[in-house]
Amino acid sequence: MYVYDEHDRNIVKERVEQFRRQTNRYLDGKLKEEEFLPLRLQNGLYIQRLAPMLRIAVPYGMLNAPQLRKLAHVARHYDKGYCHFTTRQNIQYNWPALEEVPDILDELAEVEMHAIQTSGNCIRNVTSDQFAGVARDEIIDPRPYCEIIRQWSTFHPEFAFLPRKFKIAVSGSESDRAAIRFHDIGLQLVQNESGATGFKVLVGGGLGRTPVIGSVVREYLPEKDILTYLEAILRIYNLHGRRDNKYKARIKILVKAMGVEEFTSRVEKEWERICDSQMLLTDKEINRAKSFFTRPQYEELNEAEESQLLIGLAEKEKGFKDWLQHNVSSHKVDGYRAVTLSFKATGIPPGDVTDKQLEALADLSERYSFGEVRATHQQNMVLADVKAHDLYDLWMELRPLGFATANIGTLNDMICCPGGDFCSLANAKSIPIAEAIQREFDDLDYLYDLGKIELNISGCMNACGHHHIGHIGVLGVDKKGEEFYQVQLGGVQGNDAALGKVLGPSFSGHEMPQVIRKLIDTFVDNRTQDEEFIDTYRRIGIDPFKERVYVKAN
Amino acid sequence: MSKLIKDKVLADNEWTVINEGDSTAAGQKSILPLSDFIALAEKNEVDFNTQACWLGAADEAELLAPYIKDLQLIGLNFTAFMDGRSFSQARTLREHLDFAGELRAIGYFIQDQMFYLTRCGVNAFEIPDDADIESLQRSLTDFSESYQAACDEPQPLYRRRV
Repeated sequence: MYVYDEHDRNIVKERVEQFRRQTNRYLDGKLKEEEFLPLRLQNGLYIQRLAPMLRIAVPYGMLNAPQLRKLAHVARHYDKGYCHFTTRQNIQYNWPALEEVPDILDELAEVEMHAIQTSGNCIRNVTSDQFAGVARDEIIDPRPYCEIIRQWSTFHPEFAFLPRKFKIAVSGSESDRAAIRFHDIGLQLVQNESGATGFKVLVGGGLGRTPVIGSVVREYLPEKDILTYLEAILRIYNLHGRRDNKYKARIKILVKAMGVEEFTSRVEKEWERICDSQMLLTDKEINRAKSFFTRPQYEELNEAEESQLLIGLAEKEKGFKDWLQHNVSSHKVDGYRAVTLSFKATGIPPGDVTDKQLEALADLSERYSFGEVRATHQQNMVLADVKAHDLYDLWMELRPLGFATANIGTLNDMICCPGGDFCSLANAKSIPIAEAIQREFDDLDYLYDLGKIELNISGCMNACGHHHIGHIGVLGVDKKGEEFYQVQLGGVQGNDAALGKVLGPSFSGHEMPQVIRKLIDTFVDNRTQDEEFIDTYRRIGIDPFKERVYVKAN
Repeated sequence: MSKLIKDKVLADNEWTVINEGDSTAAGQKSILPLSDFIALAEKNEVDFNTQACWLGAADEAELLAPYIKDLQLIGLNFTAFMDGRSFSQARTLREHLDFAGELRAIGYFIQDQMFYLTRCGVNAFEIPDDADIESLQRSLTDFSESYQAACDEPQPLYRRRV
């Protein structure tokens, strides 16, 4: 994991002091509300429905044990004892007091954390694959590049007042787990014919009001050119992105309006002027960044023996077997596994975690996984480096903590934004809908039979719950002051990315469990053998689902 | 006349910003809107000792390329502080056109943008008469270190790290 040096520490410390002065000016009436707004947003501070909301950055999802303990401390002393993991691998506190926020930031700085650029019209936290560094299908570890991009984007003087927010995601594996096709810039690490590292560059993807799949602007960009190229893209966007309508201000709208070719040619022209500037990366810097993400001290284990042991334990205990099958992933090192802790126990808002759970997680990470955890964009947590023969003990410890629900990848492992219960942007509640669906589908074995189904719920068209790219997407809408839910089908987030199609007229909240039930029944009736939901949908199309759901009662 | 902070200290403000459609008083040092400036320049009628130019956020900085060596001052006008195009205009003027004169922020920007603007090459700021100079100078030095290369620091931190 990246470790701050004196420069990094100093920059974060100066930020806390700067924000304290800004907050004081605001509280003293010397800084106008509308002028404080972008300043507090760029420190992750929203004024929400019930209280301020503070969003903390978790760069590319990596956290260590001291950071988890500090997050627990903040939850306990400045909030109501819990926090929430978001779909961009960040953390949100829902109840901080405005005047205490500088103190919270001070505390977080002690463990090399901050809220820098977690909101506002600037470059946001860089996200990545939760299995970075351990995935079997990894081409190149994305984390050193994420860190290089994090530093470049932090307080970038030119791009703090963009037309709109700007999100970058980096994937280093064959299978995209970072949704790079749905980011303002998506970067795929690749190797060219001669084995040199570079990036495939996608621009203009995004969800929200106008969902768009990103377009490739460069098939191969040498790694050292990444920062100058990002700078060229951002400059073209900053100068030409629309500022007259916030709903048309994202880079995806500019790319559509200009056309990918014209946009690309402008970027390339700008880039040619700056490509050999001092922002060209150096071998030294790339190696420095890589030095923080080296191979941990893995033990030499015999894969065959380890898996044999697991098979034996699984045969004896079904609960363990289920968990092993659904929540445990393969690892590039023999005898190791990556474990996904489910934050989707029924009745708990997806992504929510208490101070005690955070502390327990810190202890577990130290005992089982080199003291590190990763947040996932599906709002779960990963212990990435667990020895196979420790899995049973870990499972036993996770169960009383509520982290061992064996539902990863099932219908109940849903992505869900905080919705109308907390968020002032929301048109409808999302958490109670998630819970009602989880209760409708409370039989785990039935869920396993259904196979992989991604259900994503957003409380408004800003799409924090990624409803466009759920196999089943649910969108909260407001109709004359009443909450309704629109259903979409066929969204996919990975390599074969697709946007969902609207099923038809929306439903009231209490109808939703039955609507999902009918969709699932349609799937079950039509599926061939072990076909997955998305494949059945692609084969039979939306009509059979529509007919079943909207059939008139007779 | 508005107060001026130039090269981080209070300075005399000798130049007047002329808005579109306004006329200039004789002998007055004037910062003209781009369209007026270009019209004069195309007729070779600019007196560079008393006439300069300001850019609106939507104006293209590159249009000043032919006059860049003669211009003493270029203004960057903020009509809304959230409009960040002036930041890119500043870098274009400094880094692509090698403008070496005074680059002045005018209009509605806020003090909390001055550090970034300085990094982008702005070295003068027109400020309201009632501005709190001390607080504003503090904002100019919000950070003592930056990651990126920009106009104030030619090398990114990673080329300076030891």
